[in-house]
Amino acid sequence: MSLKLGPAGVPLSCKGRTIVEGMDDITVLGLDAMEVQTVRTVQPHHFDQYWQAGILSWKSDFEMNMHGPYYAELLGSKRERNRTLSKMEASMQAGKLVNARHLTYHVGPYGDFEPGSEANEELINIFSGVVDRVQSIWGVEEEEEEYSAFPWVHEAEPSLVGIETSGRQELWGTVEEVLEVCNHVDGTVPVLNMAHIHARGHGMMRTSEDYAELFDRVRETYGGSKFYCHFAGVEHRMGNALHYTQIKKSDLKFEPFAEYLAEEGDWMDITIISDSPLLEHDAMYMLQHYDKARQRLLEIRARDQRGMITTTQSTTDNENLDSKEENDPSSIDTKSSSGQKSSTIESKKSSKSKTQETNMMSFEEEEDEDDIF
Amino acid sequence: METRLDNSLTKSFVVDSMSTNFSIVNFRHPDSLDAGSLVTKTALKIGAQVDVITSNQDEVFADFNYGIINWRAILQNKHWLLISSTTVLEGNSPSNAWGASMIFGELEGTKTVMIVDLPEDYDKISEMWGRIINRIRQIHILFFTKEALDAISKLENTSNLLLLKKIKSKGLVPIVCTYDEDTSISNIIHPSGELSLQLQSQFPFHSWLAHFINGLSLTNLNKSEIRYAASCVENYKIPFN
Repeated sequence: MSLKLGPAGVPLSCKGRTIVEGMDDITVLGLDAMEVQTVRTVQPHHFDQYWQAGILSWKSDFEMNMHGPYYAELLGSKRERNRTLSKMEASMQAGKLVNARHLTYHVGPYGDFEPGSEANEELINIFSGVVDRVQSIWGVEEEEEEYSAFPWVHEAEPSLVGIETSGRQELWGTVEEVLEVCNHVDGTVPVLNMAHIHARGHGMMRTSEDYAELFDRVRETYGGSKFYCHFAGVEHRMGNALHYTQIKKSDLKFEPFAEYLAEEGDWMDITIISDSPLLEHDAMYMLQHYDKARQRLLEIRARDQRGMITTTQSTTDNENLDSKEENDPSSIDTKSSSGQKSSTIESKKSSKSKTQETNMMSFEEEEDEDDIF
Repeated sequence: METRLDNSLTKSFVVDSMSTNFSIVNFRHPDSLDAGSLVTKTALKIGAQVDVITSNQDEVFADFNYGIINWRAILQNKHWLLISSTTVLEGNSPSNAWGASMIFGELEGTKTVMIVDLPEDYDKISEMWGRIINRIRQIHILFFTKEALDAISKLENTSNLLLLKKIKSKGLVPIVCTYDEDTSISNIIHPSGELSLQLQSQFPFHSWLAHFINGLSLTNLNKSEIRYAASCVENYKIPFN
């Protein structure tokens, strides 16, 4: 299993505010992913540090991702949609520079659309265009010299376009809607924002089974084993997210998710981005809980294994004893002569071992001393 | 009661003392007349307990030693952390302390009130707004002065009211609000909906905001409580029931 954890943005505790300094701090904290926030417009003077960050991530095992514009109105009027797309264009360009594995986008309000296939079809068209644009920005191998500064252009796949679930009823982005659009557009990936899913589902993510159900649904509908998630605490009411909180203060706990990942997540390649108000603190909190869940699971497995070994050994001992008795009848005679009771005990043991061996219950050979019949 | 704490926490003095309905921690320049300091002055008059966190007198604010501020101790059991957007532009140290205060506010359960005002250098408005957006999840009340709202709406290419709504829906800030001193209209986008309320008299924005914070319940932000808080400046002696 591959699990990558990191904050959404430069860590709060980072003294410098550049992305590269942020990456250094994240690595020191034992984390290995980051989502660059281009929540407002991408400034051209940032491009130099984006490229430096891209080089650093390329040369290390550090996963870079990028979040698109803060305001999105892809289902709005033509003017609103174009404004959103032009902001998205800047983040696509920056995504290439930073070697982003995922570019995360919101869709925004339903606008004039009703929730349903019409809105989804509109978005399928829009995101097909976005994926094409990302791939054309990424470049082609024939123009190798032109892209020599970006080795990842040739050796890595273009960024995947992530479509994020929303946490409010008036915003497009239920899990079903996101999966439907992702299913129809190659190059897109669902971004499972657990805080949003939890809020929109009236606090539905409570147990590890809830996570199992969610990931099974995504696997069945969308397929694949790569997942990109956001996690934060959230205050919610009436199916709407009200405010992000630190994980400890929310009813959305990370422990069940960690438990699910530890127990059943072997097949997954998952990146979890902390977008809580306590960015890197909560990312580390998640890492600690995941480690604890792994540790607990290993302990349980070791205990089970010890139990099985003990059972097997006792079974083998009994079998050895039985075979010894068969090979050396004098020992039985001796026991018989020493008294009827020991013989009965041996016979009970024998029948018990047989029962264990066949793994079936048997009453035929048992003799109960107290049985009046 | 105003307690002024310097960064070494060695000096503190009481400026005034009245009832202690609510407590505010204000981080700012020692000689600042920014929006935050105006609000704390009014809050002080209506009985708030105010702690001002700033640099030592022998230090330059832009470069003061912010590392020795014990935010955890300062914010413990305080209701509100009140900061101005312009403080972040005053240098590296204020910027770091500004961010740290919000983190510890989050940890200690102190709610952050961010007052967005225009910076002296108008060209820095984009940088200032970017810094706020990066911290949007740590803010509980985002208040815009009329001038700042006009400028940022222009920057974001949207109308004033729409900007407030977008921030609320995307940033999940519990309360996004503004108060227009000229028309006496307050616009508040809150968890239970939105409220536009015209007051009968004119008040300065800092007076409106101080009373609004004082009137807010810390636990339940329903419509009637928001309405009560928004009109508190007019009838603040009438208790809410």
